[in-house]
Amino acid sequence: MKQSKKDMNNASRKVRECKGLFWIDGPEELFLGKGRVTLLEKIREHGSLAKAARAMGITYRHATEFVESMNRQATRPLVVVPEDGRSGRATLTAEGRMAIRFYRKYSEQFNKLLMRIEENIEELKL
Amino acid sequence: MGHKKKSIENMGVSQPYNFRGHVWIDGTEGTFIGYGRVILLERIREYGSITKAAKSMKMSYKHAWDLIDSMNRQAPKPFIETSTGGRGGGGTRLTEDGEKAIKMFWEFHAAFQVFVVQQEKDILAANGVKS
Repeated sequence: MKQSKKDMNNASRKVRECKGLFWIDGPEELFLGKGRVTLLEKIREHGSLAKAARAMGITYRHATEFVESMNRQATRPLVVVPEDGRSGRATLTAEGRMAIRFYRKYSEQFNKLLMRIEENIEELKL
Repeated sequence: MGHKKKSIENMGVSQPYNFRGHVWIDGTEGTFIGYGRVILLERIREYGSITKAAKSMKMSYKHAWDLIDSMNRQAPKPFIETSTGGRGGGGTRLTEDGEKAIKMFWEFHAAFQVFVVQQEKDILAANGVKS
């Protein structure tokens, strides 16, 4: 969507991109998706919920809600946040790290699937 | 997508969960073909009318037309043809490319469903749960 209308008319017709999103719903609501996994990764990187939120460009409150939702829906928490979460550290549990691994592994496979289908679509010349 | 009420202990999940997702195809102007657009094409095939197809999807005529226009504009050849007058008073029908687009999307969609079921099985297997 970054091209202007004029550019688009001149652009090659064969521009086709397969896109997709996948996520895991939990017992109440969304459990794990792209945004939540990115948040987990930022927490792992920064060791702080506030810094992780800032790095993602979301509010601290929003990040807290994500973490609470994930922890509530899992039998064992994915993130450990001390009482004064704003200043204190936030750390991933083994389950949190596992969640990242699973999601990224499937993202990679998913991207391969999209590329394979893109090749098939190319042949159809639609 | 089935396989509910299984546990993925290592991820800390033991309650019902569900693997979900959706797929679409982008063209030069953003979305080219997606779930809603394909359903719209199928309804047009069914009713032979954009108005009726839109109504059946609780969609405004304008919205339906915008979606069709977007597909027609991005495709080498239009997906929808409208004839006016003539015997039977004209109508709207799918072109051959429109049919191909529907088929292509459902194949893509099916491949994605297979992928989703497979990843769910993999996680269950990795956690010692028989599916």
